[in-house]
Amino acid sequence: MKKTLNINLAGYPFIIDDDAYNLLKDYLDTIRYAFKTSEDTAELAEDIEARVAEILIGNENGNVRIVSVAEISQVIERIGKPSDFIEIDETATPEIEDEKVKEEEKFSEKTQHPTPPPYESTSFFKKFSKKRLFRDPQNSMLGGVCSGLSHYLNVDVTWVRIIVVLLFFLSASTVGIAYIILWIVVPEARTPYQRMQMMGENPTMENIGKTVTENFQKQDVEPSQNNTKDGVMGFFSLLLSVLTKCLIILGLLIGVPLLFALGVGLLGCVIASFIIGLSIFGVVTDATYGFFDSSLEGQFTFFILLAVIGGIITVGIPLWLLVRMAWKKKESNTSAATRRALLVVWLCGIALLSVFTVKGVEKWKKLKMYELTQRETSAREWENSQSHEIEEVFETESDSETKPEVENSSMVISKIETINKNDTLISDSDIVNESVPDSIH
Amino acid sequence: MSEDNNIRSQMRKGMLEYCVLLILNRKRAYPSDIIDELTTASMIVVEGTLYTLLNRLRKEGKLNYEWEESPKGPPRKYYFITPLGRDTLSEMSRAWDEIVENVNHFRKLNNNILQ
Repeated sequence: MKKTLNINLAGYPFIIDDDAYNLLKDYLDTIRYAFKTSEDTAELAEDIEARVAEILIGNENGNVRIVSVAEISQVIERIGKPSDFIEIDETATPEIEDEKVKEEEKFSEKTQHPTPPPYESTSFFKKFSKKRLFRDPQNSMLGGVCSGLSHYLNVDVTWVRIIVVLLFFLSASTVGIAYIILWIVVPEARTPYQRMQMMGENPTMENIGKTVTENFQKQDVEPSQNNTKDGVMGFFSLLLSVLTKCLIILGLLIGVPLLFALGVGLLGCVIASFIIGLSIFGVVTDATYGFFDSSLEGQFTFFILLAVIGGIITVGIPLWLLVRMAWKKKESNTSAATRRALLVVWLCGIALLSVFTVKGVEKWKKLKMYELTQRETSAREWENSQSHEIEEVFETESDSETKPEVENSSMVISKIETINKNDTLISDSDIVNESVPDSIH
Repeated sequence: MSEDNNIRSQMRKGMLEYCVLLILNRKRAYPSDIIDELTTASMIVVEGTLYTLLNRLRKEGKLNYEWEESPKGPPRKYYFITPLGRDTLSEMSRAWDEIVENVNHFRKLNNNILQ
């Protein structure tokens, strides 16, 4: 069973095999690239496209059938690779002509030595600078970052993956964040040209033609390879299917509540960002953090709630993605936009979790201290009232020196209260220092 | 064998332009027609060559094309020769005769020695 596509080739409709379509697309893309230097690229490519259509129509004999890979490769052989016919273009600018001459020299050299050493003579650094970092979607586990890096550094992918996983645990997940950033920033190698840049091969016409034919050969060989899986691979695929089934069951158990939690989390995000935004513009004061409950307890519970929501998002999104991946077996069809949106929400979740955990802990400390100081102040008040009585007794005899002190102490208490209301941190020692003169009395 | 093929393809490449101009001097044609004629005369190895050649000749002003409705399918590009192309063609014909004459001269000498 194979997927077929309906295509419009130079105005003619065709039903084409999925593989054949990919091959044809690669071929036409290559031609477009090959004639990039000439002015009327589009025209030439269109002409050749029309020729492909005509050949296919000629093969048709009036019967509608599905165009296969074999047919397309035949057509490619007939029309030829760009390397076969680009040299004839003599209207090219002198500069390019020079290059052309060089190419021809190279070519003649090659014909003299049937097996020329390809690129072995170039130094490591030359090779290195020629390469570009791409993500490799054909050998990817997650985003193809590791495989892309392995091509870039000329190291086996497995080693890169092992190192990344180890570093992930050693570096407190900083590497994970770096991976995500690379996933977003580094482009994917989609076209044959980009793949060649990734591999560090010289993107000459010849090479591009080669990749096209290689792709064709790969597609030709792959199905038979799939059929002749040996025992080890069979065992692994069985293991994989069992694992995926387990994951699906797990997903059913976790997925539904998680989706609910995700909804709540998103709502929390929106509310939090709204409130933070308002407070930035000074519309709402700090007190509103606690939903108009300005008491420390209210703020504390609110922060903890936000932290929990952040935690749910942080854990939930990767879990949900895992479940989804298991569900759809291989490639999950999440579009790039959804993936990016999920990533943003996830980062928000991490931010929420970290910020409000810290804030919550801060509040909790303050809460404890507030209780402590309250107890202290009440004790002090009691003491003060005691001392007042004593003072009143002695006041008549002693000079009025003590009076301002008493006033001062009551001022301190009210000050503490206002400070607590304003919610600025006062260290314990400060309060003690200020209250020292009172307790002496 | 491959050496032989290489020589042939090199010679064909040089003569392709002349042949294409000859065909178009006789009649207006669209690329597939030209390809068919060249293929029967085994003058062309890879069809893509013709397209780059036509493109070049058009840029040089020796050929031009116009769109024409076809009985089936989308319109086709029909190429025709321009006055400048005709001039080039007559020059080429002269050069060709000269070359053939000279080459034949050397071949004759060669054959005499062999005999």
